[in-house]
Amino acid sequence: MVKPRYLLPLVLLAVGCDDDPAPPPEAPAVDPGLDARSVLVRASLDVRGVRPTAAELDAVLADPTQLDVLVDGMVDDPRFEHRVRALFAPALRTRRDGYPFDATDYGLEEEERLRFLRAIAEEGLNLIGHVAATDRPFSEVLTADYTIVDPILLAAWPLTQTGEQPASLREGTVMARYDDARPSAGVLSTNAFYWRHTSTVDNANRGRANAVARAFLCEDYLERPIDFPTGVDLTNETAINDAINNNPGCTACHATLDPLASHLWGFMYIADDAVTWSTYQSQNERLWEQRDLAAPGFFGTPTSGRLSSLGVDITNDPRFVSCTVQRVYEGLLGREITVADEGQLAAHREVFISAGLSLKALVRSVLKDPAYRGRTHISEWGGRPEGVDLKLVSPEQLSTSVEALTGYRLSIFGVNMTEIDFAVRALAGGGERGPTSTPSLGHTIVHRRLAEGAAAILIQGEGDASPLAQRLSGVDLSAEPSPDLIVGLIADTRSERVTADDPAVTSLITLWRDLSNESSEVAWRGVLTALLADPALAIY
Amino acid sequence: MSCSLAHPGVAGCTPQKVGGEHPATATTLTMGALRFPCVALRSALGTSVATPGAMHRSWLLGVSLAFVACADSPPDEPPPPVDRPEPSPYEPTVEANEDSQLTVEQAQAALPALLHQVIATDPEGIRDRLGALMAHADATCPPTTVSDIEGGTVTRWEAYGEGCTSGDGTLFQGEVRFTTAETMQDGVPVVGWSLDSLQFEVRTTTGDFMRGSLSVGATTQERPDGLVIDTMAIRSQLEADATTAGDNPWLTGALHGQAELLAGRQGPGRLLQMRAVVKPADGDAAVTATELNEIQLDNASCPEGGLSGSVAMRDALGGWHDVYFGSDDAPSCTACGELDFQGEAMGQLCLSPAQRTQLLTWETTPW
Repeated sequence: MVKPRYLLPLVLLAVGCDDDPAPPPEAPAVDPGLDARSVLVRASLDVRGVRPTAAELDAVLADPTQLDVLVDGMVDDPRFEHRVRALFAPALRTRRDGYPFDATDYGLEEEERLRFLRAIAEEGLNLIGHVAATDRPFSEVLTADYTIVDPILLAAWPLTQTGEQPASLREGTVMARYDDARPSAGVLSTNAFYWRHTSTVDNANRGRANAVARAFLCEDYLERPIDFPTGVDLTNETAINDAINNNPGCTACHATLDPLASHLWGFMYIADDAVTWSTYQSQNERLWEQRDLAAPGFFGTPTSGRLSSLGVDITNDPRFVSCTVQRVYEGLLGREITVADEGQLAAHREVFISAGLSLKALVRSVLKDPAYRGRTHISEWGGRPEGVDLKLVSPEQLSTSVEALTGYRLSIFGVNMTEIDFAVRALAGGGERGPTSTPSLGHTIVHRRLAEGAAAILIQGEGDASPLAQRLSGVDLSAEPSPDLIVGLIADTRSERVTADDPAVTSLITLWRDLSNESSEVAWRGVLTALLADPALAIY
Repeated sequence: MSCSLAHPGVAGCTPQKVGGEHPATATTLTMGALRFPCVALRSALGTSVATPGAMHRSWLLGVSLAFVACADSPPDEPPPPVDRPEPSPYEPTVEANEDSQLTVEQAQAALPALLHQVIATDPEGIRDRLGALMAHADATCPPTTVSDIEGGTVTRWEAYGEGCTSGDGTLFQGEVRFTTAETMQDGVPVVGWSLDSLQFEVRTTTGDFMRGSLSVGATTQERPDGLVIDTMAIRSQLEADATTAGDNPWLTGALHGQAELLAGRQGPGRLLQMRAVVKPADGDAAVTATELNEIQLDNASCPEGGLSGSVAMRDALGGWHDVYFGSDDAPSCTACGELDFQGEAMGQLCLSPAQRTQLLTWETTPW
């Protein structure tokens, strides 16, 4: 028997000499990452919002070298614009349910409220999506002299449609210009951005300045550690202003935040009415001077104060490039960056810069990233980014992928319910700051509801020309499905090729038989719901 | 540094793999330059435990090795140099247009026109035009209350949501307050009125309408020494049909913003003070917005009228141009100032004697 006093050295040695150490970083076990099929599914959902077609699936299964060809071409798909807007929605944070004024405030019909709301939410994102989809230099998002809007806004805001409309515009949008003499600064000139990020005269646009820095420079003042001064009388405006200018605990942020904020006074609305709020208040641009606030500047360099100059200053800041790379990388990998990712961020930055700030080139580069493809690796630029094994589809991806398969969309007043919090977006884990990456009961419920709805319209023959409707076209729905039909349906929905004797095929046929006691329609609804509600459609 | 159960993974305690051998048999404890195969150690210890006579020596050996192995160790050898790529510099090509878009001539032409436009505010005219639309109200629409305040009354109507429609079909929506009051200042009565609204709209069945937001008012004070002081203030973002608007620049949409004016008269003496931030609706105008900062014009300080204060004019790209006239203490008798753009002098801007005379020629008020 070992005496207790011997236990300590034994344990020490046993620990020190563990036979099964964690793999040392410089010699990882071979990590194959995801297979070609999984990468194809992932890229298709991320870049187009839909699952790959059966033909694409077969091409990659037959020849995995076709993967890169297919993935490279995905950014030229019209649906890429839609996904770019989703990628940058957390940056602008404009996708929300409430704004200060609604359609009826402009004499529009009550029924237009949701459309009007969505039009505001998408204004800045439309511009970003257009610049990306047309492969223009990404800096144009902050220098453009136009905006892209749902035409409903033409009837409410001081906007005039431009003469020639680009053919590349997304359906349901028009290119327009504000005709109230506001400076041209792309997203920074849009009403929507300032309706989302409001300010009071006393706040002096500081919150807005932080929103600008956070969105385009990934510089969030609210995340800075501060030693908040305790001796300041927060009820006294003079004392607050004195602290902002002189207290080191305050000046650390305000020295650069306030000069940014002084560019934004043209969006300070002195009156609370719908007309004032939609019109640029150029006469207020220099209220910072009257209120004895900081002169306009950009991180230590005095500026002319023009909003257009601010847009240029931001795009000329190296942080603008790094921030864009970070947003695309985080958005596609579905996780926040860590120190281990810095090397790969540098690698993608190289591509982005050498391609003239082409977002398409950047996205292509990230789609080839080993971590995106599930492989933990050592970057030649340094670091060892963690491969992403599994991702959860966003409510929006869930909706678009089910719609693409079946033609079914859950909507209210013509607006997709997965895009509205008070409908099902929040329930499914979405929000203005982006979707959650964690599975939840709510996500499952919404997924299930979409599957049930889609199954119902397919059985009713309303799926139009969708792949599943075509697959079921000419099929005798009163008869038991053949294994080959189920194999085809699995390929369509789960992007998997299985054989006719696969247990999944057998299970679905068994399910059909069990439910057919009630009716063949119920049986088919059950089978299609099971196919579309499969977790394989939610995890990718 | 020590090695313990709490720190099994700290540097110096981490098992190192010898290249090419299986980890289970080839892990070693790092001890400076010496490496002891752990498998051998464990084997030796196991023998010792099984043999009491040898236990003491083995125990000592184990403890010694454990301490030696886990005692402070020199830093790991630096990793072999890695040739990492050098990041490329970011060399943006976008440049902001910082040039002035305004000439002295354009500024010279715009200044007197703007002053006249602000002076032509006609607050009573705006009040009366809304009053004409209010004649379409009936007993229930819009719901109206009248309440007394010190020295006056407040008449207020509100019709939120979809508003209300009066008997003749006129729509009333929003909220408007009309206040009349007489107050005392320096022992002298000040008589005034104001019209304030949140967003509102009045629209008749014949298409006459006024909508937007408005705060407008005027006061008069007649002092015993013969000095009469009139003031008016307006903040407006209004729209109206052509009939209702007439030629009032705030109703035609020609002018938006806010302005405060003070006019003093005493015998032949005239004084005009102006503060305003306004913009014309004409998007093609050379001057897209103007600030009047403490502008003061009088016919007493200089023979042809003295001018003080400053004016800032905004060009089409948002560049602000400043011109400083005299100060309160020393008004400019030439009424000239240097137009400045970002520290660069562009030329003289003046109000001619005739223009000054015109601005100071009025009987009761200049508006």
